[in-house]
Formats: sequence, C-alpha cells, structure tokens
Amino acid sequence: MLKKSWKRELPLHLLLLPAAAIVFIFNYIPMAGILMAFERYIPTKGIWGSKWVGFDNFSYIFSLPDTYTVLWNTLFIACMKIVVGQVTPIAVALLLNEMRSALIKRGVQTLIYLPHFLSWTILGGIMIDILSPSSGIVNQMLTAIGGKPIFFLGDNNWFPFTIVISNEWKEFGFSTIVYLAALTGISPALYEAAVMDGAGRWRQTWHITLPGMRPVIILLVTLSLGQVLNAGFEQIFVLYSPQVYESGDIIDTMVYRMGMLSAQYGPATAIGLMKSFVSLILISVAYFLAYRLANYRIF
Amino acid sequence: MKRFGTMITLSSMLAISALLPACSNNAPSNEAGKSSSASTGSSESSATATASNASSETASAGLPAKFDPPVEMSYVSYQFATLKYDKGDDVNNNNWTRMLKDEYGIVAKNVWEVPYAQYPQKTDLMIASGDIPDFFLASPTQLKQLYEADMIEDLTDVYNKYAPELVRKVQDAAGEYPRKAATIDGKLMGIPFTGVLRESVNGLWVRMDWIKKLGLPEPKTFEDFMTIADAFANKDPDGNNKKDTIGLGLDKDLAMTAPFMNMLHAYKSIWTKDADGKLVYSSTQPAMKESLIKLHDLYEKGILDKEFVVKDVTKLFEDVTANRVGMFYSAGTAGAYPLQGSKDNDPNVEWKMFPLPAYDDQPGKFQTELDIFHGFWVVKKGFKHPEALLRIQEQWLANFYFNNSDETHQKFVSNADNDTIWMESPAKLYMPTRNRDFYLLVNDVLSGKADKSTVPPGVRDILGMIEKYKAGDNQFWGQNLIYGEGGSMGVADHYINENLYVQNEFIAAPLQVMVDKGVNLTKLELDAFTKIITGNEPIESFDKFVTNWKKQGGDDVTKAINEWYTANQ
Amino acid sequence: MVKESLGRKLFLGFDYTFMILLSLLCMFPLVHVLAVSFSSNAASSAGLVTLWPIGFNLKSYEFVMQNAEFLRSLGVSVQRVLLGSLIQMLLIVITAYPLSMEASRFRFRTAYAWYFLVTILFGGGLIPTYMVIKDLGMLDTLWALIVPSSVPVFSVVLLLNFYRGLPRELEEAAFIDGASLLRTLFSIILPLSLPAIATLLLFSMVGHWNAWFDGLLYMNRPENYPLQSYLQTLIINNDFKATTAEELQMLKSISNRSVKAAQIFLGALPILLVYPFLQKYFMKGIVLGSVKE
Repeated sequence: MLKKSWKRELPLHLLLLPAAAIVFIFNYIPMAGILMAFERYIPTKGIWGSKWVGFDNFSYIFSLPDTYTVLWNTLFIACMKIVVGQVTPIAVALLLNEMRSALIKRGVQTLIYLPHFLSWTILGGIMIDILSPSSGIVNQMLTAIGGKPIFFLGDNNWFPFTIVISNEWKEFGFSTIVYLAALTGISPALYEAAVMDGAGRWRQTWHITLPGMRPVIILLVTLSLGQVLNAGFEQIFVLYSPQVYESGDIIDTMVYRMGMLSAQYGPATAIGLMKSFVSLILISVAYFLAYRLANYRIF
Repeated sequence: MKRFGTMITLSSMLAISALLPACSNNAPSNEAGKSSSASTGSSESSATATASNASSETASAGLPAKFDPPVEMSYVSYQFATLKYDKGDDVNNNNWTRMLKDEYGIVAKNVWEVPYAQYPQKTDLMIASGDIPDFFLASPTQLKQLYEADMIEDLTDVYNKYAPELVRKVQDAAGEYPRKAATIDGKLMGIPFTGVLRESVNGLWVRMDWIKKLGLPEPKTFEDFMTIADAFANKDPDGNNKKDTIGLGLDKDLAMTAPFMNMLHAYKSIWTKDADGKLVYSSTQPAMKESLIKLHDLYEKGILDKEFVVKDVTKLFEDVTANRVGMFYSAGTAGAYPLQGSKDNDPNVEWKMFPLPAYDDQPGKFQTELDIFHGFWVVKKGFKHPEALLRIQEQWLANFYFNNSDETHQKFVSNADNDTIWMESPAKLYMPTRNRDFYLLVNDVLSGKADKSTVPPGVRDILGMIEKYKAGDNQFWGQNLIYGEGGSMGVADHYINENLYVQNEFIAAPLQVMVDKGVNLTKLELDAFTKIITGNEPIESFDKFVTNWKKQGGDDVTKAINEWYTANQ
Repeated sequence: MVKESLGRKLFLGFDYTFMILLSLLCMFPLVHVLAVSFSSNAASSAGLVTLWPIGFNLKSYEFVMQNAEFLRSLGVSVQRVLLGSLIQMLLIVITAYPLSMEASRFRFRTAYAWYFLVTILFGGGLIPTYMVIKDLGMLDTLWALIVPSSVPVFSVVLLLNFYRGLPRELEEAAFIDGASLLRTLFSIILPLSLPAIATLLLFSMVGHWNAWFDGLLYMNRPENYPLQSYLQTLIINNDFKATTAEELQMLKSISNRSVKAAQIFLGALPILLVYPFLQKYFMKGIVLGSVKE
C-alpha cells in the first residue's frame, strides 16, 4: 500500500525536482547570510569569521530613540497600502469587466499599466511639480473650488496619505491584470443561469463575479500581509524630507541612513529578518485560518 | 512582483546603502592647506605648463625603467559614463595599456568595471568573496578592514623608495592630511586618490542682470547680501508682476545652508578644534544659533522658497535653469551645470560667482573635508611589485596633467572623436588645483602675459572655447564663466591663496560609536534645523536640540573622537 | 438582448467616463517622459516640458543608440527575455501542477508549498547570493541572469490556484484514458490555463526586460550587459561632482534628463508592443469555451 502510493507520487516528485533544486541552491544556501543578523559583519572576515554578537543588532535597533515612531509610520503606511492596494484593483477590474467596447477596454487596460514602468525618481519629480502649493495643478484646482492650498509633501498630516495614493496610482494597473485573469476563469454558464433567475448586474456581480474571484483575492491579500513592514523604500526615499520625518520616516529609510555612514550589514540583515518573521507569522495565521474555517488551502 | 519580494527589498537596500562614497566623513587640516597652497600658487602653474615630456624627466631613482619580464597587474575600475574605445580597442588593449606595456613592462588586466554608483558595493562583494585584484581603489572603511584582515601591502617603504617626482608633487600639493588618513599604525596602507575640494569652494552665484536691472550693489557685505536677496524675491526682478522668484536657493537636506553658515562663522556638521585644542561638533556651537536665526529671517521675508523643504539639489537646479533663482551657493564648476542651461533658456541671463560676503571684519572661511576622491589605492598583500602602481600613477600624471604636446593629449586625454580616452588609465590621481591653474593660465594668455603656444593642450582647448564664446557662440558661455576673465576659478584662487578654510579635523573612517549613534543624531539635527528655519519651532529650541544631541549619544561620540584625535596626533 | 434600465445606462456612463479619466491620469507621466526625451537639454533640465517637447530633437536617442554597445546589449536582453521567460514559464507550469493537487492525491504537496513559499519571505541577501553564483562559475554568463530567478514563487502560487479552478472531471477523464501525467498537463490543463499563462508570461517578460541591477552585479564585462544595465551606465549620477575640465565637458554634452527619459521610454516600449498581443488571451473566456464542448 505504502509502496503503491510512492510509485504513484514519484512522477510528481520528479516534476518538482528542478524547481526545488534551483530554489535550494539559489535561495536556501544563501540563507546562511541570515547569520549576519547576529554578527558584526565585516566583508573581509566573511560570514563565518565575523564577530558573533548575539542579539546586539536587534537590541541596537530598538535602542534608537525614535524606533517606535518609525515603526508606527511603517505600519501605518504599509497597512493603508495593503488595503488600498487590494480594493482599487478589484474595483477597477470589475468596472473594466462591465465595459462592452473591447477596444476601449483594452486601451484602458494598457494605459493604466503604464505608470508601473516609471521609477520613483521620475515620478517623484513630477509629483513635486503637480502637488506644489503655489503652482501645482492639484492645488490650483483646489483653490478654484474655494479650498486652501495643501502642502501635500511637506505637511505631516497629509504626507502618509499622499504616499499611499501616489503609490496606488503607480501600481494598481499591474495588480488589476491578475484580477482580470481571474475574471476570465468564471464560467459564463453561471451568468446565464443567473440571468434566467432574473438576477440584475449588481446581483450577478455580488453572487457570481466576486465569489468567482475569491480564491485569487484571498491569495493576494494573504501574500500582501507579508508586506506589513514594507512601506516602500524607493518611493519614500524620493519623496520624504526632514520636514516630514515625523510622519514619513520608515524602517527602510532609517536603515539606508545607517548605511550612509558605512555599510551596515548586521542591523540591515537583522531588520530584514524581523520583517521576514512578522510576514511568516501573518501569512501562516491567514493560511491556517482559511484552512480551519473554510477548509481552503490558499497555496 | 517587486511588491512581494522581501529579499529583493533588503538586498536593494543594502545595495543603495553601500553605494555612498565614503567622502562624506573625512577632513583635512589648516596647516595642510597652508603649506600646500603655498607650493601650488600661480608660480607652480607655469611649472605645470613647461613640464613637457615629463615621463623621461621624472624617472625616479629606484623605479625600474622597464619591468622585464613584464609585470601583470589585475585591477578593477569604475566609469562615469560608457567608455568609447577606438576601433578594435577594449579595456585591456588601448593607448594607455599599450603604452604601459611597451614602455614600462606593466600589463594592466581589468577584472571588471562598473558605473561609479555601483563601485562601492561591487568592491564590497569582491572583498567579501576574498578575491581581491593586485591593486584597486578602496574606500576609507574598506582600507581599515583590509588592513585589519592583513590583505594589503604596507606601502611605506615602497612610497619612500620609489615614488616618482610627479606623484610626490601631487601628493604634497594635497597636503599632509590625505596621507595621514591613509596611514594606520604608522604604516602607509594606500596611496590617497587626491581630490579637488579646495578649488571647489561653494561661492555665491548671483544673477548679474537682475542686479543691474534693480540697481543693486554687488554683494560685498552681509547687508548687501540681504538687500539683494530681498529685492530678488520681492521686487519682481523678472518683471512678470508675480511673486515667483526665489531670493536664495536652498535644498531640503540643508546641504546648501553650509556656505551661508560659513559666512556667519558657523560650520555645519564637522569637527573643529576649540580653544583648548579639543575637537567639538560645529553644529552645536553658539554661532550656529545665530545663522539659524538669520535663515529663519530669510524664510519669513519670503526670500527662501517656501517649498524648499521638499526640493533636493536637482530640483533646485531645475529652478535655477528655469531662471527663477536669484542667488545660490555652488562650486565654480556650476558654470557648466546648471548655469549653462539657464543661459540656454534665456540669452539675457548673466551670472557671476562671488566670495562669501563679509559678515564682520573677518572674512568667511569655507568648511572643507579630507581632500580625497573616493579613497585610497591599495595593493594586494604578497604582490611582488607594488611599485608598479606608482609608475601607472606617474604616467597618468605625466600624460594627463604635465603635458604640453598636442599629440600626447589626443592620444591619452581626448580627441575630436573621443572625449573619454583619459578614463582608460588604470589608475589616476587628481591634481588638487588644476582648474584653478587652468584659470590662471587662461588669463595669462588673455591678458597677453603668456603665449598660447606655451600652455598645455587642455588650456588651449578652453581658450578655443572662450574665443568661440566671444565670437557669439553662447554654447561656450559656461566655460568662460569658469575660466574666463572674472571667472569663478578666480574666486577659488582667492580662497586658496588666502587659505580661507576651516577643515573637518576628523579624517578617519567612521568610528563604531559614530556609526551606532550617527543615524539618530543626524536626524535630530536636520529635524531641529528645518523646524527652526521654517518657524515650526521657536529659535529657543536650538538649546533643547543641543541638550538632546549630547544626551542621545553626542557626548559619547565627542569622547571617542577626542580619543582618536589624541592617539593620532 | 436584455433591455437596459436607466440605472444601468447611468452606471455605464459613469463607468466609461471614470475609466477614461483614470487612463488619462495614468498616461500623463509616460507622455511627459516621452516629451522630455525629445526636448532640448535646457528645457528639460529646467522642468519646462509638460506634455509637448520643447526644442524638439532626437539627440537623446542618438546618444543612447550611438554605440555598438546598444545593439549588443539589446541582443543580450532579447536572449535573456526569450530564454529566461521560457525557462521560467516551463518551471512555473510543471511546478504548479503537483502543488495544485489535493493532499489526498499528493501527500507532500503542502510541505513543498511551504518549502517554496519560505523563499519569498526569507533571503540571505546580496553577498551570499553573489558567492553562490560566483562559485558556480556563472559570473559573466547569461545564466547568472536567468537561473537564480527562474522559479518565481509568486507566479507558481498564482498558477496553482488557477489550476485548481479548472474542472477536475477533464483531468480524471484523461487519466482514465491512460494519458500520462505530463500529457495530461500539457494537452489538457495547459490549454485551459492560457489566460493565467499569458498573465504570468507578461510578468516574466517585464521582469527580465527591466532588470538591470543583476546585470551590473554579475557581469564583469560591459559587453555582457543586458540593455537596461547598459542604459544605466549612460546616466551620470546626480551627486557626480565634476572635477576636471574633461569631466565638465562630458557633463555638458550629455543631457541627463532627456537621456533618462529616453531610457525609460525604451524600457517600456517592447512591453507596450507585446502587451496588446498577450491581452487577447486574458480578455476572452477561452477556458470555458473549450470546456463546454
């Protein structure tokens, strides 16, 4: 019996072998580098020869006077990004799905993907211009309707939201593609049946489309939980300034500034490791909850 | 998929953090500046001009005329932009490598080259993999680590015995501090890549056409400066009836506040000697408070751009190029970038660089760092002929700087088709006052004191550009602004001759305590200064900043730095 | 034809207006970049260009494409994209299949799934990865750009979810017919998964086309750079302090802004060309068409 199932499963192991081997060589072996989190790593001494410092790198990070503000900023911005980052593409995918003209549909789909190709260095420059309180188009529109100009990038109350929204502007087209692909997987037979039952578009969306997308939604939400400590280095590095340290300084920008003095492999790896653990915990929790409550394996 | 890659994020973070040149933390000294400026005055520049065929003249006693059998030297390098090679040439076979091989028996073998931005990181990877080439340029931190790991040669004797005259000349011109920074436990562990900081003083650039239009004086004193700044911001110098001009340009990281502070005898973020000969941190000194008051005053009067807090230097230069800025601080070379763009956009624009306006009867002194470019040339432990590196450097100097022949210039520096030949030299040193020297020679020729045929080809190139500018080609306006009559290098010359510098006395690789406390202390400082300038915090909060700075590690850093200072005197 | 209610019409009106506005908003930066890439140095470095070139010229493109290096690195990039995406897709397809099975069919699937997932979360960083690639002798070969990233776990997980959504009856029918595992995968499952495959292929191609950092890191010779790495070498660092007259001259002759813009546009261009072609695979419900027959 045991032998038989081995025989039956052997081809499956073989199918997985190439990928498993590659991942082992290029991902698992380098994980020795995680040891740097517990070392005062110096390139000349290498991973095995650098001084072992235990949890010093971790306690160092938490000993910095403003670590908690920075941690809070990171969590706040990252969580908003996760929520907005899932809701927007789902909504856009649904709206696209309702469009009948294939030409416009395709056009829109292509165009919303474009900002993904621009780096933050470029977009940052553009944003400083369009968000300028004195000459930016956004504030000109605000004042035209009787509002007061807002210093989006220089005001601590606005900065995190500006970050989240502009990030979404850049990335939502990319995530939308996945949801659109998910939409194609829904059987038209289901819609036909619903129409027979007299269901309108709203009810079709609610009862067929959304449930049909559910596996992908759950999957992407779960994976995005892993980003809870990643508020987006490149973007914030380009857009923040001492003026908005209070609301915009995040873990990664702090580590970057550490590296400005001299490359800080130890603390940087320690922070990376902490992020990985938090992600692992959140993803595991989501995974087991889905399995226990809905008997559904996310991956 | 970027969004899902924790590892990618971390590694790119390290990537970026390792990419910063270590130049941010070093510094020369007063005496060094004095002695060197004396030896590199204008008298020297004529020596520069006449030292032709230097290669034959400067053969140093000990250095073998030609290595036989040839010595092979592996090295790694960076580039500023893609190199162009003549047909059939490549990094290991070009005019430079052929000359070194044929005439001196040195075969330079390039292992890799990367854009400069990736160089620090790629060298770190290389060092980590334990596989370093025979020679390469190491950062101060790397120098220290390589020394501690016993991976590099002690060059003390090599330098003393073999260093050719040209190399010594340039090293001496750079002052004793670069070499001091390369010396660990009394041993010279690398040859400093001498830099050009002193001639790169951040003078005050002023819109002269606005000065004329508004009938303002030139900025001689601080009062003049304030009058001009106010008029540039509030008297509509561009005549469009809108308040859209900036009196004084600043950047969000406050880098450009340093020259302003220097004008008021305050210094930003460096270590200076106090009356007792101890090192103190300049940003916490009382003079700093005064400059912050004045900067806040400028902000209040609308002279600074209210949005400067979100604009970095590139963004500020955008405003300069768009001709919205009346004054800003930058090096003399700003004539080429960004100012040439300003002229291109409006031919009526005129700019001029001034020394710092006088705040009192004492002239303002510029703060300056250890004058090296990136780091130190090191030789791998066990390499048989470390002296060959000195030969490469000598040949670089002989062909790039100390040369009067057009033929050599076109072969080794630049010609009509290829302006990047000079980058192919396997090792380089910068002549600390070369642009200044060029300025002096250009002006000697312009005033008839010297003949065009006696100056080096590089100077002749510039003279050619200035002639074209005078004939009406604005494309070369920027070159004239730097080297021509009243050019910006003249201001640099003034500072070099008078030795008006205050140098960061801390010139070593960052100490551990600086690394540990530095992130927070720098943030504290930038945060406090920004808030005071913009008026978000009252000026009294400066005292609170000083207290916090000391409490949050500043005292520890001060102690460690003074220990270092005593130990390295 | 179902009769459309007023509400539906209003909704569609809103839908179209909103989506078109959104597209314009997303188009803006790239059009801006395109305009900058065609503008004169002075205008673009003054930030004067918005949506239309000022001082129209082709200098940046000439500059970018002037050297033989451009074509050579383009060649490397094409190889990289073709070979890299092919290997990635193959590995994704065969890896996702066993993982999509129920634990009752394949007992180790969950263990494997976590084995792969952990690599999304944990990494050793740059230095050890570099060492592995160096020790394998991959430096300076195309393989260094292709193999280490050949198992994009995110895509595998996505595809395994798509596989699961397929009707199992088909697969079982194939097995009863005696088809082998591979045949089932490639002749039944795969054609049904085209929308998902097209999506992942797009990601794969975009990823390979735009990656530049690994090129600079793992290639010692510029002649082995893929296009995006080569283009990076054309951009002079903003912190770059001009030090010699020669460097000044160089700085002057190169318009950073416009060149950067040209670079970005060239980076996006091939994808813009490929995208509409791939789109048709995930716009239509191919899956279901074939199932119904």
